[in-house]
Amino acid sequence: MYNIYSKCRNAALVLGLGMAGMLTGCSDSYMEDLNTDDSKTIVTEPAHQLTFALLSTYGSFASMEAVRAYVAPYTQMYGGSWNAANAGGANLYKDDVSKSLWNVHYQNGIKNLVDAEYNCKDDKALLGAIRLHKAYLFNILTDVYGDVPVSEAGKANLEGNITPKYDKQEDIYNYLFTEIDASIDLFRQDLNSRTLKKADVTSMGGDVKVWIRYANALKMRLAMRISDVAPDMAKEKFLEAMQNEGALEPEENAYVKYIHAPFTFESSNTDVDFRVNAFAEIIYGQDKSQPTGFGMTLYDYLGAENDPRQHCYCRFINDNFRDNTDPLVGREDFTDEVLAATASGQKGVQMVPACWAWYDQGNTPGGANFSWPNADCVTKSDHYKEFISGREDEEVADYYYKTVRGSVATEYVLPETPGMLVSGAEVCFLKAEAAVKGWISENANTLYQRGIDVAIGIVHNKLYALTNPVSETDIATYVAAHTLSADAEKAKEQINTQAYFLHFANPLEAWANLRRSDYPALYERTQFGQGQNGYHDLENNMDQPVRLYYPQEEINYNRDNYLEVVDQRMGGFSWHKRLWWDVKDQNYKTYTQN
Amino acid sequence: MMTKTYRKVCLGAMMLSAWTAMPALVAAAEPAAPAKMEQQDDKIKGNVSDADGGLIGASVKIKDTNVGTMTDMDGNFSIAAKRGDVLVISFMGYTTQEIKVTGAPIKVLMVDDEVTLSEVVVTALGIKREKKALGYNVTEIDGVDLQKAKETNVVNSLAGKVAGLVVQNTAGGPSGSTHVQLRGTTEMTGNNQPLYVIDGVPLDNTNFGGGASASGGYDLGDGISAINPDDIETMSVLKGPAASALYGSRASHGVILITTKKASEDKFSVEYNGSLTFDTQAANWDNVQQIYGQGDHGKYITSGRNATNMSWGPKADNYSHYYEFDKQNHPYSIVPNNASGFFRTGLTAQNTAIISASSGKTGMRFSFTDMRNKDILPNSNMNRDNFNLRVNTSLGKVDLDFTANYTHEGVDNRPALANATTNVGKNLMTLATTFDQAWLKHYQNEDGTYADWNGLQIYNVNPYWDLYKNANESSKNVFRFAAKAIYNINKHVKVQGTIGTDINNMDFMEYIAYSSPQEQKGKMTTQKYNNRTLNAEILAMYNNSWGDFDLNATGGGSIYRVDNKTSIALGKDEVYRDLKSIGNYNQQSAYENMYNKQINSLYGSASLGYKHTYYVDATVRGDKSSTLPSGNNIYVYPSVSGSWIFTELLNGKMRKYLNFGKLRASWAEVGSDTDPFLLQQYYTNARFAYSGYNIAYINSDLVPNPELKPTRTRSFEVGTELKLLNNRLSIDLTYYNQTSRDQIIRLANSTASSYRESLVNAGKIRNEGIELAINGRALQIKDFAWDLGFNFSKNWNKVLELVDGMDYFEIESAPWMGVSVGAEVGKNFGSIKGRDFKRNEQGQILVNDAGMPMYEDKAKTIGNASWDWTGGFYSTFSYKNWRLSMGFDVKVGADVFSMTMSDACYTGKDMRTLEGREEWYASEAERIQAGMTEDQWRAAGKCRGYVVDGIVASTGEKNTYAIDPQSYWDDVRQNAASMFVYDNSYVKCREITLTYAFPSKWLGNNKFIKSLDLSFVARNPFMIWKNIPNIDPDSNYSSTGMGLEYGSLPSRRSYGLNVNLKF
Repeated sequence: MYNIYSKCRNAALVLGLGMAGMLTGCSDSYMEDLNTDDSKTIVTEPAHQLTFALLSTYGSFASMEAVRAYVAPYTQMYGGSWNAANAGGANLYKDDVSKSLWNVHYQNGIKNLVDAEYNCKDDKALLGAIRLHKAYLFNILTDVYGDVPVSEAGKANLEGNITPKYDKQEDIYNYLFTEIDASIDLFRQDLNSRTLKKADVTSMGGDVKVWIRYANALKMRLAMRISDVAPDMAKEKFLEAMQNEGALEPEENAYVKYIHAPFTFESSNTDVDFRVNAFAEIIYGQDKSQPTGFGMTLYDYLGAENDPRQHCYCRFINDNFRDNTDPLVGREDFTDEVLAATASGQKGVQMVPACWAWYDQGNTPGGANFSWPNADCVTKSDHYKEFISGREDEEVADYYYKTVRGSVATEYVLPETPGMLVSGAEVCFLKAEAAVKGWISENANTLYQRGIDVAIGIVHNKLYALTNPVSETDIATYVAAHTLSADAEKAKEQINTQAYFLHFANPLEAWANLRRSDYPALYERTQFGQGQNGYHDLENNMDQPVRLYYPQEEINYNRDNYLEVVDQRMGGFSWHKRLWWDVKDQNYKTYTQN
Repeated sequence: MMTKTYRKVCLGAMMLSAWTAMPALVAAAEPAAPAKMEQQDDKIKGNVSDADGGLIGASVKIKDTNVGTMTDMDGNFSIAAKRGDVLVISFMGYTTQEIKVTGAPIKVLMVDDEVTLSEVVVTALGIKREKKALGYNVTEIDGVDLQKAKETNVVNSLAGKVAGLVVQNTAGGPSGSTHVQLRGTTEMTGNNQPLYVIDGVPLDNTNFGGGASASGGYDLGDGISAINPDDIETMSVLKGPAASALYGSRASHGVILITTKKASEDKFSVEYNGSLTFDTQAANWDNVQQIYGQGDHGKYITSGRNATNMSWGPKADNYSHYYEFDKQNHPYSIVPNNASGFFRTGLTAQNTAIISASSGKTGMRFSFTDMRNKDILPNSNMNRDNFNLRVNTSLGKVDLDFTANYTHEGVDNRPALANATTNVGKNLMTLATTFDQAWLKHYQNEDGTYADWNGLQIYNVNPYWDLYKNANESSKNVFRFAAKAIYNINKHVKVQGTIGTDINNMDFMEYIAYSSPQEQKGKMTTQKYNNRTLNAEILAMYNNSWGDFDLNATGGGSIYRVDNKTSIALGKDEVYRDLKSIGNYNQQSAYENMYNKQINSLYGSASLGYKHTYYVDATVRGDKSSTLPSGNNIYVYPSVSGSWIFTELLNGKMRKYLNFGKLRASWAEVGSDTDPFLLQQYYTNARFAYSGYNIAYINSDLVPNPELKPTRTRSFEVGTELKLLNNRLSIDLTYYNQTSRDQIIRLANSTASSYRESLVNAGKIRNEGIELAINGRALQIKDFAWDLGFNFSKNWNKVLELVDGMDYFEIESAPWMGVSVGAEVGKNFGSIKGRDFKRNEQGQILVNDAGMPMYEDKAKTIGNASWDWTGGFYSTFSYKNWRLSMGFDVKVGADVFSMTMSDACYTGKDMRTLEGREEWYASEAERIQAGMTEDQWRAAGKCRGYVVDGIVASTGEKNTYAIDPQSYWDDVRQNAASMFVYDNSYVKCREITLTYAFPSKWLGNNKFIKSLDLSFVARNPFMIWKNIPNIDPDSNYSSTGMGLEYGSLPSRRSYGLNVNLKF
């Protein structure tokens, strides 16, 4: 008995001593080691972060919520989905949607690029690409929201600034030009970079010389953007971009390469999976009642121009299945039937304005109802026959209607759809406009026609891999039929109408260029009323907005800076107030029912 | 109808108890009118007194009979008794005495029942102290109160029982966790839950998976939910930092000490405790319009987005329609109580066997509990087996105590919460009035793929598919071991060593079947939690007394260590159907999360008492936490408290009325650390491969802070405890004031800074409040006694400051509704922010020219999610072997933003959506008949419909513009969150137990059965009052999601039987 007792006592003593040892013996370094997360790393390579940032340009589904709901419908190239119709299409402000682009770019691309720039020491070309792409992302944000934080943005960790000030758009453009110049400078010092090659998921494949031409192309785009508000500076910057290496050649394109992986939908941010083109994905839609349709305005323009792309972009498809790996599954294409029916005088093609959901089923300005489409072109299909058995009349009509409204061609909704940065065709159009302005001496018409030629032949035929490419002859015919007017204003309209067609897969640039050039004229928003759900603008102004709301939370988390912009600079926020570079209102035209 | 009557009766009973309680107590205080007794020859006369003279109202009873009387104002009594009878004289607060009748007048001198006045409670570090010596509030709950009307999660039983303790069930159902808070929110971005300590060893109360958020998720339960109520001897609630200063960081939100049962003193005993309850739905959807059916804008629609979830169709007729998904015709008629039909009657069976043996100084207790729960949600089940062994022995001067506990818990199909696509509650609640949920039992096609009933809408997945085809499973194995050795060196000194570990392994699997609308190619996630906590402590204790002085002192140290690892694997794109294995997916990804932390501590305390009247306590503790940076990682904090038994100074007369009185005061500071790994920035690589490239990014949205300091909470408390009227009434009143500063806050940033939050020491939050508990025996007439208790607490939870230039930050939000809940300077914690109508100076809603209301473009404060006050009361009646007790829970004044109600309006189910409908549909029909456009129709003055009650902004006149009510509700839901803020107050009956203890003579003479109790039990049997329609006010979907509710499943009401049998 005593034995056990003494053992217990000894054990207690040992425990006590051990404990006292632990208390004093746990050094700070022991504690620090313990407080280090072994499942993560504290160092990384800036190249890996650049890859991430490049992919996140189009790769985040969340950021595309704002594009689908506002940007795309404001270009009037897209419409018909619940989101496009009931947010942007109806002037309904939804904070969580309109701020998504802001939140995602600041928190993904910009965050990592700011950090990578800080850590990138010797790799000049890599640093150039990091700074250039950061400028690209800031440019997206300022063109959507106006004055935004740039000089102090993304620095919460590096400088402890959690309330970045909003830079004036004018200052932002100055900064963007500086950054582009700085990156070109860096590129020139490191023409044979191997690190950039390892990081580069764009079409440029790490070729530093192409990166320089891309930087100059971007500079041209930005110069043209400020051509109305700061013409002298615009010209100066544009001409600088023409010098030395110059901009992208007409057949050269800079775009982010995405891969054939499953669509992520809402989980792209939680799973950090940015490998697929999320704009393509969001237009395809999460469920079969969600796809964004083809906008009436673009369709009508393509038709009016006899553009061979009209039914390459726009197909008549009944989509009965959502497949998040292969969007081709379950798509039944009725384009030939619908077009034949239309040609034979039947009520075939039906287009919805951006502000209408497809299920608004033909309400049009003025309030008269469309008749149900008499689309016997559809009834031939086996799927249709299977479908109608026992169905309600409304459902059958629905089937017609969904089929005869325009859908975005499958080539544009694939996971691997390229994410365009700047195309050679765009450079042609920018130069053509510069020529019209007299900034450069090249022939404007030649540039314009060359632009159209590569826009169709290279960008859309090859890059977006149209299954039925436009034939060389059709292109030639179309190009020949498009000569630039001698009238400068008319020429501007022609050039920017072609740019509008070109930017189909990049609605952010399409919308910016629309607001800058005011061409082509869009359908006037007010004639479409408030939509079936009666949504209306908070400002009671049903004109099409020209910028997006800032995130609501800024007033709480960045109050002084936010109020400075909204109260001091803007004199009260309005999404109908134009940006700094947007000196004139968009041209609008009246919709007439045909 | 049934329910209504039932409710009325219970309400009546409650009112009665409330109204009669006071007079009864008053009557007890007044000298009772001497009972008029018939003078008979064999009257035995007597007098009952205490040290101060005659005792009024003492009970005098002849043993084993119902014959009894009470003493008069001088303490005299007379009773008809025979010589040889034994009189039982009892009075609350005094030791009961038995006197044999000899014929001579009986004089009884009652003595104070020391047990009552020298109540011993378990305090910090498991030290038992006389309650009267404490300078702070401790409330104890007897384990017996938790064992009859059982909860699957034992903390739910505490609802309404303790002043200042707020128990909030979440919508997670029986397998979910419960949010417990003592004295309000002290930490703005922390979990604010108390520390649970079981027999001296802190419990790992990790909420696996972190609970749900607005966007969805599961509540995977926490540590405390697996504790078996049958093993609990007492629960001791230490509120505020003064009580818990000795537990350090982890106890800054209070402590709940659980003492488990040891072997009973009987040599050998066996106990069986079993209960079987039926569980049904407790809140019904009772605010649903019963006129219009499925459809949109007055038209009948069966396909397309949302159509099956919209009740904006024509009036229900009986016309039969064909539905494609099940290829059947179904009538278009209103289905009453549609959602209710989905739920089944649940069943919970809990069986416990306890063996207890003791021999000499050695005792052994073993308990086994099997709990099986069939939830009201179809195909959702839980089982839990709990093995607990406790052995204690003494070897000379050493006492040893060992506990081993193993718990296995398995849950199938926990409910998915909030905006999860798989939340069946959300999907059911908007189902069109004419769409019978039973039709959805046809959830799959012949080939096993999803039967598309609504255009493959991802946010309205067929609930039967969710429960029968999709799946989630969890399996949890918890091992808890603890050993304690006490070395009693001499009468005054002992040393105690405790070591305990908690190993918590959990596997969770979520399976989304192929062809599910939200993941057409299928998806599977597995989460493997390997959590281990170790606690080791050594404590030396000293006590001595010199003359009038008593001294207690302790000193010791402890090590607390946590090592948690979570492995997550994700599979997408299923290869073979229904094969639930990560290997069966084309896209796979795996990653890990860690959580490691250690705190080393040293502490000491001293308590000095003088004349058993004055007490002073002081404690000091120092912690060194691995989560804080070197230089700031050691923090020391003190506490002092004192109490004064002022009744010791009162004279005898006064003490007759005021039997016991104490004043207490305490002051304390507590320091607190944070989570690990927050001091530096981490990167991680992308979860899926992009061949040939490496993708890396900054892992966190939180700005790390290498200069973090510990949070400090300072508190002050004063209180009094009184026992009055011969100890029949006890009152405990506390005022407290605690301020937390240097809070470690995850401060929300401008996202343009690229980080959502930064970790800072900032902000100040003050909790100030009062707590009142009154307990008493309202009536005692012979064998009948009625005990009542009531508690009340009010907490003012003010956010004093955040950081410069910031007056609000968000804690939780429902982003798609533009609503958030957060901390706002100058307001109670939990401001609900959202947008509201634009109004004129008179507060009238402004309307635009199209008849639609106008809205503010910025969010403003539209509610507050903190309770104004909470409380509870209970009432127990005992008569001979019968005991009836009822407990109620009251919570008042918090608001909730109900997305459920917002959806009910948007989808046309809410009663309010009827207004203007008939008119609009008729007007539209006539307009189309007349071939006029809307403008023409309006111009003709014929348009009728919903007219917004407001003022036209452009004209200043009253609005008369008729619109489609559907457009109105759709628009309002998008823009005016303020419409869907509800007062979440309620009064709930939490439990009713009616127990009959079988008299021993019925159990036979062989004494084989020692006792048998049979109880009828009910948990949450009815709700007495609530303001929010349709749903249960206890419907938060997560512990942090205060003030937000979405798609909540109904809460469960259960009733059944409990048997307790002792051999």
